[in-house]
Amino acid sequence: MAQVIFFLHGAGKHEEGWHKDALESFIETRLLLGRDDDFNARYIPIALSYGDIFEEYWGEHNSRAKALANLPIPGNANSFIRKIIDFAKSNPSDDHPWIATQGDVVLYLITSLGPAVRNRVWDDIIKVLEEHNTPMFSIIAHSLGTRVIHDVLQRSFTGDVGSNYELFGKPKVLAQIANITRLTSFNEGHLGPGMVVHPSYDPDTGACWRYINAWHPLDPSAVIRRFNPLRYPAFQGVQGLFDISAKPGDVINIKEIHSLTNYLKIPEITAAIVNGLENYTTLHPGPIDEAAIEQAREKYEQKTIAGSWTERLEQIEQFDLNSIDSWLDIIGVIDKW
Amino acid sequence: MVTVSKQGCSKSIVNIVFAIVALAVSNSAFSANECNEFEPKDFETNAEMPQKFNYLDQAFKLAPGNSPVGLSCKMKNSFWTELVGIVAEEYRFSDDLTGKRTFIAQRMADRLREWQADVDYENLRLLIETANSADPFGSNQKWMVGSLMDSIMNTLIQECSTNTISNECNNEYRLVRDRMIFATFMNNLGDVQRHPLVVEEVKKFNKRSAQWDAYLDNQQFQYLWELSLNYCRDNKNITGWKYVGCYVPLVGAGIAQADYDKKSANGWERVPTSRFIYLHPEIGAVYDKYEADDWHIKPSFIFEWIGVMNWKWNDSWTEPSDKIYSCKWDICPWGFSLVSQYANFSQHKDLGHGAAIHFRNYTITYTRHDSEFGGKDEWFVGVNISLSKLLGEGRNNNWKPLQSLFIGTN
Repeated sequence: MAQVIFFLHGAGKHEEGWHKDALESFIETRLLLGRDDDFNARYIPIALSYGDIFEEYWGEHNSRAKALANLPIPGNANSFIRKIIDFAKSNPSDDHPWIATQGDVVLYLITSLGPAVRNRVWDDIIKVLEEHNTPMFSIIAHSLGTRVIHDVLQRSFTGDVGSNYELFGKPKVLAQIANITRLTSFNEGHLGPGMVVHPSYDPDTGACWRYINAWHPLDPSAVIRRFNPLRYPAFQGVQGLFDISAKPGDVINIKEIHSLTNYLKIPEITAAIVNGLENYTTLHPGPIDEAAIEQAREKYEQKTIAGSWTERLEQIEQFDLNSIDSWLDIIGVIDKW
Repeated sequence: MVTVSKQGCSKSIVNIVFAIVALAVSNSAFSANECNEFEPKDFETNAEMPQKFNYLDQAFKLAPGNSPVGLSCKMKNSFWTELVGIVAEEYRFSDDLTGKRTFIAQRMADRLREWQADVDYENLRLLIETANSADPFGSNQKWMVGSLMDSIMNTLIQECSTNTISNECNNEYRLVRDRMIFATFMNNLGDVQRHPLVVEEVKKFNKRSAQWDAYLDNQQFQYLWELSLNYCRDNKNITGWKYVGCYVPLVGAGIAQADYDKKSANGWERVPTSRFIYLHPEIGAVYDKYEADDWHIKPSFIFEWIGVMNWKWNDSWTEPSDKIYSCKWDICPWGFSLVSQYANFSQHKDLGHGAAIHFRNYTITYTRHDSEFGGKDEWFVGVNISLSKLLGEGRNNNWKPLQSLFIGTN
């Protein structure tokens, strides 16, 4: 039975098929880890999208601001009205970075668009599961998507025996990439005793079988108010929790350090996901072992920034330029010249 | 599920396992031919896409839970296919068994053939009926499969991953045989029972999505602070002094969400059936009958101080062509607000105050403006941007000055 993998994006614009790069990354890394079977026979990747809700909102908002700014108001107008018009004129455009990122986060967190987004995501998930007739699914969420899916699973909680939520079961893997759940929490309240989004092999508790919390130490979104699962009692002493930190040099293009594509190129993260997807029994560790990860890392590091610097360092060492005397010699030569 | 042999895995060892499993399936198919109801295409359909819900639904129609009807051949074969499929999947995913996998799979296939010969269908039917009547929506049944499979497969792997056939291993196979059929039946039973509920759940969320879309698109636009206020107001958990916080733009919703998310039991937020209008700037047009030249229609700035809109959802909504609202004479969402209106009037003061009525995303204002040159004070009628666009589409020259203003607006 094929398993559905849902990809859930973060803040900003996401066109249809937005997940293609990330998926390609995932498949490539999986291959690097020695999983060379047919991906499509085993999985059904589905891109979830909620970004259009924000885009439509900002589109309408900006066109109103534009019309307001164009309103022919005489100079002697009431000062309060004048202030509103001036405010409208200073409205950031829809491609402004604030709108593209933080704007979506603010809309999600403090307005009625939040429930609308959660409803859309769950609606899409159940439609796909119904369409494919499969109860087996996993979720790879990124950035704002981590907060969205956290809230969705909190509401569609399946482990609560006797409730009406028991319909589709838990996702096998919940991969929270660059998790901003804590960053976007107003306080620790909703991460407290009532939180059910944690891994559990127990049928009656937890909202997933395996919880992967992946973060990069140089990714500000993932590090500021980092979601450290072990802070919370629900995560303590449970099986199925994987808190994975990338190495500082684990980046191929520094501009993409926060991107899902970059994260899924990191062997340890993809290995944890694949092991979760492919362990048909929950207690089984999965097919990828440490040796395979080590092997994949060697190849991966050749492409990273850290890898290229290491290569340079080796060149320096080769020419014996790493001693202070060598550099003093060079400086001496330049000085004479 | 039985497509495993078609999936073209490159590893030869995997192919061997699949071949063995496929052999088991074909054996089952051979014996199944003794059943009149069995048709080979059922296996094909199942192989192409496991239409679990569909064919099990049909199977259960043949053997309703409350009537003592025996299981049909189709049902037997379906379950047998399921079972073999599960075993196949299990071994497909257990790559760490490497060389021992073929051996285990072969033995498993042998045992399954043996099991097929002596399985007691009548007892299994009773088992289903008992489970069905005891707990028709039993969450435990569903998960039993997962936990049983865990314990079974782990023990199996430990006990049987040597080439020496031990008594423990034989016993374990027997256990697998007994438990797996139970687990599979429970799983299938759960699916069949869940299916109508799944359909209901999908319908419910389709409706909720349509309602959310209508809430955000078919009504007057909400600014950030309005969305924030309304989000906070809709949160029924907010009481006491915290509720006052809802009226502090942008802050209240923070309090609301933090409070709401504390309990999973809070479930899904309801789709609102009312909303507040709050500090809402709007652009519109007003009719100035005292204007000397032809341009009686003038752009105006409308500021809504506070107001409210109400509506009722149509609970019987099932598809987009259905009405999403359920209101008397279809007049909803509707509402009213207190407004100030500013426009460049010819003989009256630019700023006036009054009220507005709302229908969906249309607004009609009625504001009173003092006379500027000693005439009498006057009430003026205006419309908001959406309605003025609707009225202005090629109707008459009066609307021309507004066209440039509204370019690029919705």
